[in-house]
Amino acid sequence: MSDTSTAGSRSANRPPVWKSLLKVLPFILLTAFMLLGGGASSDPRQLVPLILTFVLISVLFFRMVHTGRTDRYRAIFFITMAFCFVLTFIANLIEVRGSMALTHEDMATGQTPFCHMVIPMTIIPAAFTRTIIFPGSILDGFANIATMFALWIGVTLALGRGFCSWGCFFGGLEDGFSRLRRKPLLRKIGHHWTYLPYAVLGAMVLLSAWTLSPSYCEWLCPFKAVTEFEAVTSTRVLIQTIMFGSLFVGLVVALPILTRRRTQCGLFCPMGAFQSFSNKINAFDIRIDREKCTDCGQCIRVCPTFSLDARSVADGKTRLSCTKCGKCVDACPRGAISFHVKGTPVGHKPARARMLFLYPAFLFLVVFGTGMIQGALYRIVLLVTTGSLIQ
Amino acid sequence: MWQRIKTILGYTWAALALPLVLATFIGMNDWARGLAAVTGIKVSPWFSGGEVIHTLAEPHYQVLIREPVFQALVGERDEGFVQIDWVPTGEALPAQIRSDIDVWPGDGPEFTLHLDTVTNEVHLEKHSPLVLGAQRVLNLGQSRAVRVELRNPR
Repeated sequence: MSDTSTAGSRSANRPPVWKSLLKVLPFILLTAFMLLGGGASSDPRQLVPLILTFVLISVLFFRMVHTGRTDRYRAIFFITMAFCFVLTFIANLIEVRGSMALTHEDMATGQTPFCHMVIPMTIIPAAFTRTIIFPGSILDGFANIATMFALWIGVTLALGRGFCSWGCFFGGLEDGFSRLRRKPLLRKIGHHWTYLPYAVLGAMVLLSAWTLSPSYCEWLCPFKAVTEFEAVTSTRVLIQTIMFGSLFVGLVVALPILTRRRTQCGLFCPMGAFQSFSNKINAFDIRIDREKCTDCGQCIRVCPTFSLDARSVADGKTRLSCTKCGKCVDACPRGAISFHVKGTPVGHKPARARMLFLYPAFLFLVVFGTGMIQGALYRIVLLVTTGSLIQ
Repeated sequence: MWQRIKTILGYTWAALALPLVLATFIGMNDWARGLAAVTGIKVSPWFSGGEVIHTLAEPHYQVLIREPVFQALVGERDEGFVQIDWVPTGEALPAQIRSDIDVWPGDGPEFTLHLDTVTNEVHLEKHSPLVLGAQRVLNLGQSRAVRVELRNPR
Protein backbone atom coordinates (compact mmCIF):
# COMPACT_ATOMS: atom_id res chain seq x y z
CA MET A 1 0.00 0.00 0.00
CA SER A 2 1.45 3.40 -0.88
CA ASP A 3 1.68 6.56 1.21
CA THR A 4 -0.99 8.12 -0.98
CA SER A 5 -3.47 5.39 -0.18
CA THR A 6 -2.62 5.72 3.52
CA ALA A 7 -3.33 9.43 3.34
CA GLY A 8 -6.52 8.65 1.48
CA SER A 9 -7.75 6.15 4.07
CA ARG A 10 -6.77 8.52 6.88
CA SER A 11 -8.74 11.29 5.20
CA ALA A 12 -11.77 8.99 4.83
CA ASN A 13 -11.56 8.05 8.53
CA ARG A 14 -11.51 11.62 9.78
CA PRO A 15 -14.06 12.38 12.49
CA PRO A 16 -16.59 15.17 11.94
CA VAL A 17 -15.15 18.63 12.61
CA TRP A 18 -17.44 19.21 15.59
CA LYS A 19 -16.18 16.04 17.26
CA SER A 20 -12.58 17.12 16.80
CA LEU A 21 -13.43 20.58 18.12
CA LEU A 22 -14.96 19.04 21.23
CA LYS A 23 -11.80 17.02 21.82
CA VAL A 24 -9.61 20.08 21.31
CA LEU A 25 -11.62 22.58 23.34
CA PRO A 26 -10.46 21.46 26.81
CA PHE A 27 -6.88 21.64 25.58
CA ILE A 28 -7.35 25.17 24.26
CA LEU A 29 -8.90 26.27 27.56
CA LEU A 30 -6.10 24.62 29.54
CA THR A 31 -3.48 26.26 27.35
CA ALA A 32 -5.16 29.64 27.72
CA PHE A 33 -5.22 29.16 31.49
CA MET A 34 -1.54 28.19 31.56
CA LEU A 35 -0.36 30.95 29.24
CA LEU A 36 -2.58 33.78 30.44
CA GLY A 37 -3.06 32.74 34.07
CA GLY A 38 -0.43 35.19 35.29
CA GLY A 39 -1.95 38.03 33.26
CA ALA A 40 -0.88 39.03 29.78
CA SER A 41 1.36 42.02 29.15
CA SER A 42 -0.34 45.19 27.93
CA ASP A 43 2.68 45.96 25.72
CA PRO A 44 1.48 45.15 22.19
CA ARG A 45 5.00 44.00 21.28
CA GLN A 46 4.56 41.23 23.87
CA LEU A 47 0.82 40.69 23.51
CA VAL A 48 0.70 40.27 19.71
CA PRO A 49 3.38 37.50 19.70
CA LEU A 50 1.51 35.74 22.53
CA ILE A 51 -1.78 35.82 20.63
CA LEU A 52 -0.09 34.63 17.42
CA THR A 53 1.55 31.75 19.30
CA PHE A 54 -1.73 30.82 20.95
CA VAL A 55 -3.48 30.73 17.56
CA LEU A 56 -0.67 28.56 16.17
CA ILE A 57 -0.97 26.15 19.12
CA SER A 58 -4.74 25.86 18.71
CA VAL A 59 -4.56 25.26 14.96
CA LEU A 60 -1.80 22.67 15.31
CA PHE A 61 -3.60 20.72 18.02
CA PHE A 62 -6.83 20.78 16.09
CA ARG A 63 -5.06 19.49 12.98
CA MET A 64 -3.31 16.82 15.06
CA VAL A 65 -6.59 15.57 16.47
CA HIS A 66 -8.64 15.95 13.32
CA THR A 67 -6.22 14.43 10.83
CA GLY A 68 -4.83 11.72 13.12
CA ARG A 69 -1.29 12.76 12.20
CA THR A 70 1.01 13.41 15.13
CA ASP A 71 4.56 14.04 13.99
CA ARG A 72 3.81 16.56 11.25
CA TYR A 73 2.12 19.04 13.63
CA ARG A 74 4.32 18.27 16.62
CA ALA A 75 7.38 18.98 14.52
CA ILE A 76 6.13 22.40 13.40
CA PHE A 77 5.95 23.64 16.98
CA PHE A 78 8.98 21.69 18.18
CA ILE A 79 11.28 23.00 15.47
CA THR A 80 9.94 26.55 15.72
CA MET A 81 10.52 26.46 19.48
CA ALA A 82 14.12 25.30 19.03
CA PHE A 83 15.12 28.01 16.58
CA CYS A 84 13.25 30.63 18.61
CA PHE A 85 15.04 29.45 21.74
CA VAL A 86 18.43 30.03 20.13
CA LEU A 87 17.46 33.50 18.93
CA THR A 88 15.95 34.52 22.28
CA PHE A 89 18.73 33.03 24.36
CA ILE A 90 21.53 34.65 22.39
CA ALA A 91 19.74 38.02 22.29
CA ASN A 92 19.18 37.87 26.06
CA LEU A 93 22.82 36.97 26.70
CA ILE A 94 24.06 39.84 24.59
CA GLU A 95 21.63 42.20 26.29
CA VAL A 96 22.65 41.13 29.81
CA ARG A 97 26.33 40.25 29.40
CA GLY A 98 27.33 41.85 26.14
CA SER A 99 28.41 38.55 24.58
CA MET A 100 27.75 34.82 24.35
CA ALA A 101 31.00 34.16 26.20
CA LEU A 102 30.89 33.11 29.80
CA THR A 103 33.55 34.67 32.02
CA HIS A 104 35.17 33.30 35.17
CA GLU A 105 33.31 36.03 37.04
CA ASP A 106 29.94 34.79 35.72
CA MET A 107 30.79 31.27 36.84
CA ALA A 108 32.10 32.31 40.27
CA THR A 109 28.88 34.21 40.96
CA GLY A 110 26.63 31.36 39.79
CA GLN A 111 25.22 33.14 36.77
CA THR A 112 25.27 30.22 34.35
CA PRO A 113 21.78 29.05 33.34
CA PHE A 114 21.39 25.35 34.20
CA CYS A 115 20.67 23.06 31.30
CA HIS A 116 19.03 19.63 31.35
CA MET A 117 21.92 18.09 29.38
CA VAL A 118 24.13 18.16 32.47
CA ILE A 119 21.65 16.36 34.75
CA PRO A 120 23.10 12.81 34.38
CA MET A 121 26.58 14.12 35.18
CA THR A 122 25.48 15.75 38.43
CA ILE A 123 23.76 12.82 40.10
CA ILE A 124 26.72 10.78 41.42
CA PRO A 125 28.58 13.85 42.76
CA ALA A 126 25.34 15.08 44.34
CA ALA A 127 24.82 11.73 46.05
CA PHE A 128 28.36 11.67 47.46
CA THR A 129 29.04 15.35 48.20
CA ARG A 130 25.53 16.88 48.37
CA THR A 131 26.69 19.51 45.93
CA ILE A 132 25.91 20.18 42.29
CA ILE A 133 28.91 20.38 39.99
CA PHE A 134 27.71 23.31 37.95
CA PRO A 135 28.50 27.04 38.15
CA GLY A 136 24.85 28.04 38.51
CA SER A 137 22.54 28.97 41.34
CA ILE A 138 20.32 26.58 43.29
CA LEU A 139 17.29 28.87 43.52
CA ASP A 140 18.13 32.31 42.15
CA GLY A 141 17.95 33.71 38.67
CA PHE A 142 16.95 32.42 35.27
CA ALA A 143 17.02 28.61 34.72
CA ASN A 144 18.24 27.89 38.22
CA ILE A 145 19.26 24.37 39.18
CA ALA A 146 16.32 23.42 41.45
CA THR A 147 13.69 24.65 38.97
CA MET A 148 15.24 22.76 36.08
CA PHE A 149 15.40 19.59 38.19
CA ALA A 150 11.73 20.00 39.22
CA LEU A 151 10.74 20.43 35.56
CA TRP A 152 12.79 17.44 34.51
CA ILE A 153 11.33 15.17 37.20
CA GLY A 154 7.78 16.18 36.25
CA VAL A 155 8.23 15.66 32.52
CA THR A 156 10.15 12.44 32.99
CA LEU A 157 7.37 10.90 35.06
CA ALA A 158 4.74 12.11 32.59
CA LEU A 159 6.44 11.43 29.25
CA GLY A 160 9.58 9.36 29.80
CA ARG A 161 11.94 9.88 26.87
CA GLY A 162 9.07 11.61 25.16
CA PHE A 163 10.78 14.69 26.58
CA CYS A 164 13.32 14.47 23.74
CA SER A 165 10.62 15.03 21.09
CA TRP A 166 8.15 17.07 23.10
CA GLY A 167 10.32 19.35 25.18
CA CYS A 168 14.03 19.39 24.37
CA PHE A 169 14.73 22.66 22.58
CA PHE A 170 18.03 21.28 21.32
CA GLY A 171 16.37 18.26 19.70
CA GLY A 172 14.23 20.62 17.64
CA LEU A 173 17.29 22.01 15.87
CA GLU A 174 18.24 18.60 14.54
CA ASP A 175 14.65 17.75 13.80
CA GLY A 176 14.57 20.87 11.64
CA PHE A 177 17.81 20.13 9.80
CA SER A 178 16.83 16.49 9.28
CA ARG A 179 13.78 17.59 7.28
CA LEU A 180 15.63 19.79 4.80
CA ARG A 181 16.14 17.04 2.20
CA ARG A 182 13.34 14.89 0.88
CA LYS A 183 15.54 11.81 0.59
CA PRO A 184 18.59 10.81 2.61
CA LEU A 185 22.01 10.76 0.95
CA LEU A 186 23.44 8.55 3.67
CA ARG A 187 21.27 5.52 4.40
CA LYS A 188 23.49 2.90 5.98
CA ILE A 189 24.47 3.58 9.54
CA GLY A 190 25.89 0.62 11.44
CA HIS A 191 23.61 -0.69 14.18
CA HIS A 192 26.48 -0.62 16.68
CA TRP A 193 26.58 3.20 16.53
CA THR A 194 23.23 3.30 18.35
CA TYR A 195 25.03 2.15 21.50
CA LEU A 196 27.41 5.11 21.38
CA PRO A 197 25.15 7.41 23.50
CA TYR A 198 25.30 4.88 26.34
CA ALA A 199 29.10 4.79 26.07
CA VAL A 200 29.25 8.61 26.05
CA LEU A 201 26.90 8.65 29.03
CA GLY A 202 29.00 6.15 30.99
CA ALA A 203 32.27 7.91 30.19
CA MET A 204 30.94 11.38 30.99
CA VAL A 205 29.26 10.30 34.23
CA LEU A 206 32.45 8.66 35.48
CA LEU A 207 34.71 11.49 34.33
CA SER A 208 32.45 14.12 35.89
CA ALA A 209 32.36 12.20 39.16
CA TRP A 210 36.14 11.85 39.13
CA THR A 211 36.89 15.49 38.28
CA LEU A 212 33.84 17.02 40.03
CA SER A 213 33.20 19.13 36.97
CA PRO A 214 30.58 18.81 34.20
CA SER A 215 32.90 17.20 31.65
CA TYR A 216 30.27 16.94 28.92
CA CYS A 217 29.58 20.68 29.10
CA GLU A 218 33.27 21.43 29.13
CA TRP A 219 34.28 19.27 26.19
CA LEU A 220 31.51 17.72 24.13
CA CYS A 221 28.22 19.64 24.17
CA PRO A 222 27.48 20.66 20.55
CA PHE A 223 24.88 23.17 21.69
CA LYS A 224 27.46 25.40 23.34
CA ALA A 225 27.97 26.66 19.81
CA VAL A 226 24.51 28.26 19.79
CA THR A 227 24.05 29.14 23.45
CA GLU A 228 26.98 30.16 25.63
CA PHE A 229 30.57 29.06 25.95
CA GLU A 230 33.54 29.88 28.10
CA ALA A 231 35.42 32.98 26.98
CA VAL A 232 38.54 31.88 25.08
CA THR A 233 41.39 32.78 27.41
CA SER A 234 43.64 29.74 27.01
CA THR A 235 44.61 27.01 24.55
CA ARG A 236 42.46 24.54 26.48
CA VAL A 237 39.36 26.69 26.07
CA LEU A 238 40.19 27.26 22.40
CA ILE A 239 40.31 23.48 21.84
CA GLN A 240 37.01 23.10 23.69
CA THR A 241 35.41 25.78 21.55
CA ILE A 242 36.61 24.10 18.34
CA MET A 243 35.13 20.83 19.64
CA PHE A 244 31.74 22.44 20.29
CA GLY A 245 31.66 24.04 16.86
CA SER A 246 32.74 20.86 15.06
CA LEU A 247 30.24 18.67 16.90
CA PHE A 248 27.46 21.13 16.20
CA VAL A 249 28.22 21.35 12.50
CA GLY A 250 28.74 17.59 12.21
CA LEU A 251 26.06 16.08 14.43
CA VAL A 252 23.36 18.73 14.52
CA VAL A 253 23.55 20.18 11.01
CA ALA A 254 25.43 18.06 8.45
CA LEU A 255 24.57 14.49 9.45
CA PRO A 256 20.86 15.18 10.06
CA ILE A 257 20.67 16.75 6.58
CA LEU A 258 22.49 13.80 5.00
CA THR A 259 20.67 11.04 6.88
CA ARG A 260 17.25 12.62 7.58
CA ARG A 261 17.77 11.44 11.18
CA ARG A 262 18.40 13.16 14.48
CA THR A 263 21.98 11.96 14.70
CA GLN A 264 23.00 13.85 17.83
CA CYS A 265 19.94 12.55 19.70
CA GLY A 266 20.22 9.01 18.38
CA LEU A 267 23.97 8.47 18.20
CA PHE A 268 25.59 10.76 20.75
CA CYS A 269 23.43 12.49 23.35
CA PRO A 270 24.16 11.19 26.88
CA MET A 271 21.07 12.93 28.27
CA GLY A 272 18.97 11.08 25.69
CA ALA A 273 20.58 7.78 26.68
CA PHE A 274 19.91 8.55 30.34
CA GLN A 275 16.33 9.57 29.56
CA SER A 276 15.80 6.27 27.69
CA PHE A 277 15.72 4.42 31.01
CA SER A 278 12.75 6.55 32.09
CA ASN A 279 10.72 4.90 29.32
CA LYS A 280 10.64 1.89 31.63
CA ILE A 281 8.63 3.74 34.28
CA ASN A 282 6.45 5.75 31.90
CA ALA A 283 2.81 4.88 31.16
CA PHE A 284 3.10 5.27 27.38
CA ASP A 285 4.93 3.45 24.66
CA ILE A 286 4.64 2.75 20.94
CA ARG A 287 3.55 -0.73 19.95
CA ILE A 288 3.28 -2.61 16.70
CA ASP A 289 0.31 -4.86 16.03
CA ARG A 290 2.02 -7.93 14.56
CA GLU A 291 -1.21 -9.12 12.97
CA LYS A 292 -1.39 -5.98 10.84
CA CYS A 293 2.36 -5.51 10.25
CA THR A 294 3.71 -6.62 6.87
CA ASP A 295 7.38 -6.01 7.75
CA CYS A 296 7.68 -3.42 5.00
CA GLY A 297 10.35 -1.60 7.03
CA GLN A 298 8.93 1.88 6.45
CA CYS A 299 8.91 2.60 10.21
CA ILE A 300 12.57 1.57 10.50
CA ARG A 301 13.49 3.90 7.64
CA VAL A 302 11.71 6.96 9.04
CA CYS A 303 12.51 6.63 12.76
CA PRO A 304 14.65 9.71 13.49
CA THR A 305 16.38 8.26 16.56
CA PHE A 306 17.16 4.73 15.30
CA SER A 307 14.66 3.32 17.79
CA LEU A 308 13.27 0.66 15.47
CA ASP A 309 15.07 -2.24 13.87
CA ALA A 310 14.01 -5.56 12.37
CA ARG A 311 14.27 -7.29 15.74
CA SER A 312 12.21 -4.74 17.65
CA VAL A 313 9.58 -4.71 14.90
CA ALA A 314 9.41 -8.51 15.10
CA ASP A 315 8.86 -8.14 18.86
CA GLY A 316 6.14 -5.56 18.26
CA LYS A 317 7.98 -2.90 20.26
CA THR A 318 10.30 0.02 19.82
CA ARG A 319 13.75 0.05 21.35
CA LEU A 320 14.32 1.74 24.71
CA SER A 321 15.45 4.95 23.02
CA CYS A 322 12.03 5.76 21.50
CA THR A 323 11.13 9.46 21.88
CA LYS A 324 7.43 8.95 21.02
CA CYS A 325 7.55 11.53 18.24
CA GLY A 326 4.87 9.61 16.37
CA LYS A 327 6.70 9.57 13.02
CA CYS A 328 6.45 5.79 12.67
CA VAL A 329 2.76 5.90 13.65
CA ASP A 330 2.12 8.42 10.86
CA ALA A 331 4.23 6.53 8.34
CA CYS A 332 2.88 3.00 8.78
CA PRO A 333 0.86 2.18 5.63
CA ARG A 334 -1.18 -0.46 7.48
CA GLY A 335 -1.93 1.52 10.62
CA ALA A 336 -0.18 -1.21 12.58
CA ILE A 337 1.76 1.15 14.85
CA SER A 338 0.02 3.08 17.57
CA PHE A 339 0.46 4.92 20.84
CA HIS A 340 -0.20 2.48 23.64
CA VAL A 341 -0.89 2.58 27.36
CA LYS A 342 1.19 -0.01 29.17
CA GLY A 343 -0.80 -2.78 30.75
CA THR A 344 -3.51 -2.66 28.09
CA PRO A 345 -3.69 -5.15 25.20
CA VAL A 346 -1.87 -4.05 22.02
CA GLY A 347 -4.21 -2.31 19.62
CA HIS A 348 -6.75 -1.74 22.41
CA LYS A 349 -8.45 1.61 21.70
CA PRO A 350 -5.36 3.22 20.13
CA ALA A 351 -7.19 6.54 19.59
CA ARG A 352 -7.82 6.80 23.34
CA ALA A 353 -4.21 5.95 24.16
CA ARG A 354 -3.05 8.58 21.66
CA MET A 355 -5.26 11.31 23.17
CA LEU A 356 -4.13 10.37 26.68
CA PHE A 357 -0.55 10.90 25.52
CA LEU A 358 -1.12 13.96 23.33
CA TYR A 359 -2.77 16.03 26.03
CA PRO A 360 0.16 16.05 28.50
CA ALA A 361 2.83 15.89 25.79
CA PHE A 362 1.59 18.77 23.66
CA LEU A 363 0.67 20.79 26.74
CA PHE A 364 4.23 20.41 28.02
CA LEU A 365 5.59 21.40 24.63
CA VAL A 366 3.45 24.50 24.26
CA VAL A 367 3.79 25.78 27.82
CA PHE A 368 7.54 25.20 27.72
CA GLY A 369 7.94 26.58 24.22
CA THR A 370 5.54 29.50 24.06
CA GLY A 371 7.83 31.82 26.01
CA MET A 372 10.62 31.04 23.55
CA ILE A 373 8.47 31.68 20.47
CA GLN A 374 6.95 34.77 22.03
CA GLY A 375 10.44 36.00 22.92
CA ALA A 376 11.72 35.45 19.40
CA LEU A 377 8.72 37.16 17.79
CA TYR A 378 9.25 40.07 20.19
CA ARG A 379 12.89 40.29 19.07
CA ILE A 380 11.81 40.29 15.43
CA VAL A 381 9.28 43.07 16.14
CA LEU A 382 12.10 44.92 17.90
CA LEU A 383 14.34 44.44 14.87
CA VAL A 384 11.67 45.79 12.54
CA THR A 385 10.75 48.77 14.73
CA THR A 386 14.18 49.78 16.08
CA GLY A 387 16.64 48.15 13.68
CA SER A 388 18.19 46.03 16.47
CA LEU A 389 17.44 42.72 18.14
CA ILE A 390 18.82 44.09 21.40
CA GLN A 391 16.98 46.52 23.61
CA MET B 1 -8.87 -10.73 35.90
CA TRP B 2 -5.14 -9.89 36.02
CA GLN B 3 -5.36 -8.32 32.56
CA ARG B 4 -8.26 -6.18 33.76
CA ILE B 5 -6.29 -4.97 36.78
CA LYS B 6 -3.31 -4.20 34.56
CA THR B 7 -5.54 -2.26 32.18
CA ILE B 8 -7.05 -0.19 35.00
CA LEU B 9 -3.63 0.51 36.49
CA GLY B 10 -2.27 1.44 33.06
CA TYR B 11 -5.06 3.89 32.32
CA THR B 12 -4.79 5.37 35.82
CA TRP B 13 -1.08 5.99 35.42
CA ALA B 14 -1.65 7.38 31.91
CA ALA B 15 -4.45 9.68 33.09
CA LEU B 16 -2.15 11.05 35.81
CA ALA B 17 0.30 12.33 33.19
CA LEU B 18 -1.79 15.42 32.45
CA PRO B 19 -2.24 16.55 36.09
CA LEU B 20 1.46 15.82 36.56
CA VAL B 21 2.41 18.21 33.75
CA LEU B 22 -0.01 20.85 35.05
CA ALA B 23 1.29 20.48 38.61
CA THR B 24 4.88 20.66 37.36
CA PHE B 25 4.31 24.05 35.76
CA ILE B 26 1.88 25.54 38.26
CA GLY B 27 3.92 24.55 41.31
CA MET B 28 7.33 24.85 39.68
CA ASN B 29 8.75 27.40 42.13
CA ASP B 30 7.38 25.56 45.15
CA TRP B 31 8.69 22.21 43.89
CA ALA B 32 12.07 23.82 43.33
CA ARG B 33 12.21 25.31 46.83
CA GLY B 34 11.00 22.02 48.32
CA LEU B 35 13.58 20.04 46.38
CA ALA B 36 16.37 22.36 47.51
CA ALA B 37 15.20 22.22 51.13
CA VAL B 38 14.69 18.44 51.27
CA THR B 39 18.02 17.58 49.66
CA GLY B 40 19.97 20.44 51.28
CA ILE B 41 21.90 20.58 48.04
CA LYS B 42 24.37 23.40 47.33
CA VAL B 43 26.59 24.43 44.44
CA SER B 44 29.97 22.71 44.55
CA PRO B 45 32.60 24.90 46.24
CA TRP B 46 34.85 24.31 43.22
CA PHE B 47 32.48 26.74 41.48
CA SER B 48 31.01 28.86 44.29
CA GLY B 49 34.32 29.35 46.11
CA GLY B 50 33.09 27.86 49.39
CA GLU B 51 31.51 29.26 52.54
CA VAL B 52 32.93 32.34 54.28
CA ILE B 53 34.69 31.24 57.49
CA HIS B 54 36.48 34.44 58.60
CA THR B 55 35.78 38.11 58.02
CA LEU B 56 38.45 40.76 58.55
CA ALA B 57 37.15 44.32 58.96
CA GLU B 58 39.37 47.05 57.46
CA PRO B 59 38.58 50.81 57.42
CA HIS B 60 37.03 50.87 53.92
CA TYR B 61 36.43 47.22 53.12
CA GLN B 62 36.02 43.70 54.45
CA VAL B 63 38.20 40.74 53.65
CA LEU B 64 36.22 37.50 53.41
CA ILE B 65 38.23 34.31 53.83
CA ARG B 66 36.37 31.30 52.54
CA GLU B 67 36.73 27.71 53.56
CA PRO B 68 39.62 26.05 51.71
CA VAL B 69 38.29 23.75 48.98
CA PHE B 70 39.79 20.27 48.67
CA GLN B 71 36.50 18.51 47.95
CA ALA B 72 36.72 15.16 46.17
CA LEU B 73 34.06 12.55 45.40
CA VAL B 74 35.31 10.60 48.41
CA GLY B 75 37.68 12.18 50.93
CA GLU B 76 39.79 15.16 49.94
CA ARG B 77 42.16 16.08 47.15
CA ASP B 78 45.84 16.78 47.65
CA GLU B 79 45.52 20.23 46.14
CA GLY B 80 42.79 22.84 46.21
CA PHE B 81 42.33 26.55 46.76
CA VAL B 82 41.07 29.18 49.14
CA GLN B 83 39.08 32.14 47.84
CA ILE B 84 39.63 35.58 49.28
CA ASP B 85 37.05 38.32 48.59
CA TRP B 86 37.44 42.05 49.16
CA VAL B 87 34.08 43.78 49.59
CA PRO B 88 33.89 47.59 49.96
CA THR B 89 31.95 48.94 52.93
CA GLY B 90 31.67 52.32 51.20
CA GLU B 91 31.57 53.07 47.50
CA ALA B 92 34.70 51.44 46.21
CA LEU B 93 37.79 49.54 47.20
CA PRO B 94 41.06 51.42 47.70
CA ALA B 95 43.44 51.33 44.73
CA GLN B 96 46.05 49.29 46.63
CA ILE B 97 45.26 46.60 49.18
CA ARG B 98 47.60 44.47 51.27
CA SER B 99 46.05 41.57 53.17
CA ASP B 100 47.73 39.02 55.42
CA ILE B 101 45.69 35.86 55.19
CA ASP B 102 45.63 33.32 57.97
CA VAL B 103 43.69 30.41 56.52
CA TRP B 104 44.30 28.04 59.41
CA PRO B 105 44.50 30.33 62.49
CA GLY B 106 47.12 29.64 65.09
CA ASP B 107 50.44 29.69 63.25
CA GLY B 108 50.43 33.11 61.59
CA PRO B 109 49.43 34.12 58.06
CA GLU B 110 50.10 31.58 55.31
CA PHE B 111 50.39 34.29 52.66
CA THR B 112 50.09 37.98 51.92
CA LEU B 113 48.22 39.34 48.91
CA HIS B 114 49.03 42.69 47.31
CA LEU B 115 46.05 43.64 45.17
CA ASP B 116 45.90 46.50 42.70
CA THR B 117 42.17 47.12 42.19
CA VAL B 118 42.79 49.44 39.24
CA THR B 119 44.81 47.06 37.07
CA ASN B 120 43.36 43.93 38.73
CA GLU B 121 46.80 42.50 39.31
CA VAL B 122 47.73 40.52 42.36
CA HIS B 123 51.07 39.65 43.89
CA LEU B 124 51.33 36.67 46.21
CA GLU B 125 53.86 36.55 49.03
CA LYS B 126 54.11 33.00 50.38
CA HIS B 127 54.83 32.33 54.04
CA SER B 128 54.09 28.61 53.98
CA PRO B 129 55.10 25.69 51.77
CA LEU B 130 51.40 24.82 51.54
CA VAL B 131 50.80 27.86 49.33
CA LEU B 132 51.24 27.09 45.63
CA GLY B 133 50.18 30.15 43.62
CA ALA B 134 47.47 32.70 42.88
CA GLN B 135 44.94 32.59 40.07
CA ARG B 136 43.79 35.70 38.19
CA VAL B 137 41.73 38.38 39.93
CA LEU B 138 37.96 38.02 39.58
CA ASN B 139 36.34 41.39 38.99
CA LEU B 140 32.95 41.13 40.71
CA GLY B 141 31.61 44.65 40.20
CA GLN B 142 32.81 46.71 43.19
CA SER B 143 34.30 43.63 44.83
CA ARG B 144 37.33 41.59 43.89
CA ALA B 145 38.21 37.95 44.56
CA VAL B 146 41.31 35.81 44.17
CA ARG B 147 41.75 32.09 44.46
CA VAL B 148 45.02 30.99 46.01
CA GLU B 149 46.04 27.42 45.27
CA LEU B 150 46.96 25.37 48.31
CA ARG B 151 48.37 21.98 49.17
CA ASN B 152 46.16 20.01 51.53
CA PRO B 153 47.82 19.94 55.01
CA ARG B 154 46.14 16.63 55.95
